[in-house]
Amino acid sequence: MRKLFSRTDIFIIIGVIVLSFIFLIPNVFKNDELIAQVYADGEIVKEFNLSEIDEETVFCPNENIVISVRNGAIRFSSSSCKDELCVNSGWLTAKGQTAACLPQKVVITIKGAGKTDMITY
Amino acid sequence: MQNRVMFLKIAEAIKKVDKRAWIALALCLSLIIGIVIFDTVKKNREFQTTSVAMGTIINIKLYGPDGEETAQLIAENINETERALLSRNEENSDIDRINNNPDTSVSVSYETADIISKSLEVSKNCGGVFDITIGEITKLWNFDGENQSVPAKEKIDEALSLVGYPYVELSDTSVKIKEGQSLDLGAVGKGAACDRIKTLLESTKTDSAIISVGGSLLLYGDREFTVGIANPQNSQTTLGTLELSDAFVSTSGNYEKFFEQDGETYHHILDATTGYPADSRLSSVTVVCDSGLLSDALSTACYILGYQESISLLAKYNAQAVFVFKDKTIRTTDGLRECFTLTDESFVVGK
Repeated sequence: MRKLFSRTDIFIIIGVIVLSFIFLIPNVFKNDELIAQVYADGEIVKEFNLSEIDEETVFCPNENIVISVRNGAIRFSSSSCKDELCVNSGWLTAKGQTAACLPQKVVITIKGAGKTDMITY
Repeated sequence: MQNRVMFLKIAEAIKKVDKRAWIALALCLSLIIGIVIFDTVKKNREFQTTSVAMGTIINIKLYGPDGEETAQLIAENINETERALLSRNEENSDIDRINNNPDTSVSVSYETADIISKSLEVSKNCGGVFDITIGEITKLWNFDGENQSVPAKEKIDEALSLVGYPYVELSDTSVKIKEGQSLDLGAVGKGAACDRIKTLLESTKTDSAIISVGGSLLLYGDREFTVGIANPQNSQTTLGTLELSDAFVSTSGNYEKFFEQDGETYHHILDATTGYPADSRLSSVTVVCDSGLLSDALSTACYILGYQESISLLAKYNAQAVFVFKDKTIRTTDGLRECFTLTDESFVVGK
């Protein structure tokens, strides 16, 4: 009587199973990344991978705003607006956090909200 | 040499594999490739963007085809809501024309009339603590401006004598207010914008969506979303979540806009019967219902009324709510008990 699985069959099955997990690898790494997006007038003008930044740098989406970026964190560090509400928002460090300069229509948001889709406030 | 032996062994093994195994292998591979492609396509059908409009942050997350175009339409729709209908600072908006022509019947769009009509009804049902004729009072407090201070009592009393929803005359699409009165739809504007976006989405191919207009949310379609409720002590974090689909969610909290003077904190939720910030035991109220305008109006009204008096008001509109008290206890209405999850253990869910 013929065996249900020959040895080669078993190798193939194991191979296919292993292969199917290869596609998951990029996703596993992706989830740990902290990506910050800077929007000006509704368009993404800059994206930072906060996990990969070694030393503090600055980025200016326009002549009135300075954004500071360091490992794992991003913030508005200065703005020409009087009230500087955006600066007072401080460092953003977790997924889903947002800070905005409303008068100049600049928004910083850290991509991916973890388990939460959106926050009501 | 060893390599050669190994190679020959593998070649022999491959020869041994029969046709059926090859077919099975091909099927498996095509299944895997199919799944990967499906997954990629599905991800492409998700579109997310953030912008600023109506003086607030707009977050858009769309599922379905044509995400980018739909997001564009939504942005235009929000600007239109502000420009043509609800802004009192925008010249020739419906509200601006009403405010500038007291004692005159002003013809407005059907939508504006509908928003005013529903707002007046809420005012009536909550004993006038929420009232869109509060315009002169909000001007005095100026929470949207700079260098706020507590207005003089005489000024508040004078402005308060002009507040009163019964003075508004509304017939079909004509609106008339009393001399000296002014309408302020700030407490319902974001929710009303969410209502208009829902109507817009119904004409697109969007499967589902979650949209935040300054913290007032529209959950569109069958997809279940996790909505975080802002922690009043640090609104970048959440105190709990709600699992919801096809609903409107709005929160009123004392942490949104406030200023301090002589050691006292003055927040922006004004009681239309006193002209002062509502004296409440609550930090915030989150309302869930089937209308954006109502969820907005009710969250304000419930914050001012407090827990006990809110229950009958919410029942009237078939709305549900989460109440967060200053002492860090949380109470939810029966309809939300199952879908609420506490995420910040420093808060306590009361019975």
